[in-house]
Amino acid sequence: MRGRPSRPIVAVVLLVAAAAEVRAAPRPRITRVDVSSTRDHVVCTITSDELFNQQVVNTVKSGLPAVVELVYRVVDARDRSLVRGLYTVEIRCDVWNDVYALVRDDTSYSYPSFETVSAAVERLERVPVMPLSALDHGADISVLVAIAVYPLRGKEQEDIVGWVEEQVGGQSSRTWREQVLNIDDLIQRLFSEDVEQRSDWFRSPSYRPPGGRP
Amino acid sequence: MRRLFVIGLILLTALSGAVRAQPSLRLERIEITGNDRTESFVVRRHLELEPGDAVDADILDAARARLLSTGYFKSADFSTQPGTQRGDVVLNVALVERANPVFETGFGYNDLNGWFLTLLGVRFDNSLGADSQLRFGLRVGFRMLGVDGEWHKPISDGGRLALNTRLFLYGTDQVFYESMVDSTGLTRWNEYRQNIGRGGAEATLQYAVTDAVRLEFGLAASRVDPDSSLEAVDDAPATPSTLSDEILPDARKSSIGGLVFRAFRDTRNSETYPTRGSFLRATLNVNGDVGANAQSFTKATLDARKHLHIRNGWVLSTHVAGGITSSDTPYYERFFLGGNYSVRGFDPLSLSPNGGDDVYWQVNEELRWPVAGAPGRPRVVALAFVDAGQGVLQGQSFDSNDIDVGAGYGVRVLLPWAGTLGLDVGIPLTEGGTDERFRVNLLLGFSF
Repeated sequence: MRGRPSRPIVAVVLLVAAAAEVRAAPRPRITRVDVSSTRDHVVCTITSDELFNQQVVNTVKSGLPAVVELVYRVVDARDRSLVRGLYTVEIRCDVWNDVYALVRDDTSYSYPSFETVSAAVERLERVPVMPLSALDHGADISVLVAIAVYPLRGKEQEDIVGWVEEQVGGQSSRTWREQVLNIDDLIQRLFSEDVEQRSDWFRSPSYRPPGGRP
Repeated sequence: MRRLFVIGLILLTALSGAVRAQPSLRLERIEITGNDRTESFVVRRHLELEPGDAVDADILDAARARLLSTGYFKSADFSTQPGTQRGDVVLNVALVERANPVFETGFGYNDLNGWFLTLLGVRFDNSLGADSQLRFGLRVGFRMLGVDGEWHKPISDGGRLALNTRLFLYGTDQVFYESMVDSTGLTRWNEYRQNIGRGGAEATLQYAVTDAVRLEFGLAASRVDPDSSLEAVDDAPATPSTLSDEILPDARKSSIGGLVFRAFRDTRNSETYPTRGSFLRATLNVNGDVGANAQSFTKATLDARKHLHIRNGWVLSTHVAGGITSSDTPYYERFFLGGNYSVRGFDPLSLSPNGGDDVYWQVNEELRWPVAGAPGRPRVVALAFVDAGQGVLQGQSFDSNDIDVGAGYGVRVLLPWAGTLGLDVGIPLTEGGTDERFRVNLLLGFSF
């Protein structure tokens, strides 16, 4: 009897193992953020890994897009927020010609394979985060960055108002029209962050841009 | 050289044609996970996607929005994977269902009581059959307070045919006015209120002919219990002089039961702030002898609205409404003009006799323009309006000299949590009602 655990214990161990497996699902991770300047902008080069889970890979390879979302915050030496923003880029695949592309606004860059396009996303070069003219001369700044890749569509783009409008729907017949909002969802939305698919925040080393406002 | 240019042009055109001719992605199958309580066919019904359909990111986005709009799911994560053939796509839908009950708040409109706030609502999804919704709500509105429950169950034809059952229990305030000449020889108006309790049920079959057109047919029954006395408002004398004789004989417990028929056509681009499209509603109630103290009467109404986008978010909205009811209709089922959702600038219900009108019409014209927020999604809207209306008793004819007209301006704040809150300043342009010079109204939603 001694060397043989009872069924409940086995069940608990299996549950814990399953939970550990779920927890161990890879999350995107930023490993390095380099801040520099162009002639008129502060820019970042972001290096990251574990960006592409199987859902994202499959979605892109099936011909539908995945969206890379980069949320950033520029802070001064006293940690006061100067700018916050969202940078998105789409990964697409032309399944008929086996060609991949990174698309931002109307600009598209082609890549011959998923490996090359994913490498480009894992090192996003010179992402503009704020104009130099908005900075005080001689001020030190840092950039905080988090990254996520979503199959099909972005999530950070759904601001709270947009989300509420999506949730608030005519739920009934037209003799009895009603716009309703789920209270528990609203609380969850206000007090929690979507951390499952997004990396932790990464803080760049301190950087003093040239120029700026005198 | 010229020939070379022409050949190049032809080649370019042919190439661009080839790009355009590239086949679209095709849905091979749908894999659904996480739907423990919701049947898969319900999910598929709301996705409105079938194997073989062309798909792209926008189509899948719209399908996801449809699925979330059911309210059954906390989240719906979509992803895809390559199918068996090149260009075939397998759609993976990972759902997280809401736990019953779902607590909700909101605002709305119903035929019986107009606009209301749902202070607290409780909903149970799929609890009495697939795709059914059972809901209860505590609602407060324009002179009303009550609770109601609704059970909505799609029956067949892809969900187009549904059974809808409602139970309700409400208290509403009916307002009456009585004029008297005071000691200085001036006419003053006294206001009285009467609480009318209503409880009842309605069962209708609803058929969505198209996405925009819906027909309803069913049975309705209710018990009406008006207070046997009137409550004097402010400094009105405790006992009205003639009002009691006019109203109270009909103020008895009664039953109302019969058939209801409704038809709707709604092409508006939004229910909360429409900028385009139209809305048409026709209703017919035929109430018969359903027991002791039954009120037998027939009532028909028509409500039409048109919203015309002019430019930069400016919208011209028109509302035309009318109704006719038989002369044996009890006063609390007749038509009353005046107030927020009728002819503004006058006291509520003050443009009709205390016993109500048998026939009425009204026209409201509103110019709305955004003053804050994005033009397509304004947060604050200003408006200017002109309202007109007239009501008569059976046997009387409409007289163009007796049309009640009011005009004014207002503002609406579109709050997602609380609905649309507004304030209107109305100025009577004709004599009538309680002889007020202007009236400021706070209201829920737009007037129409």
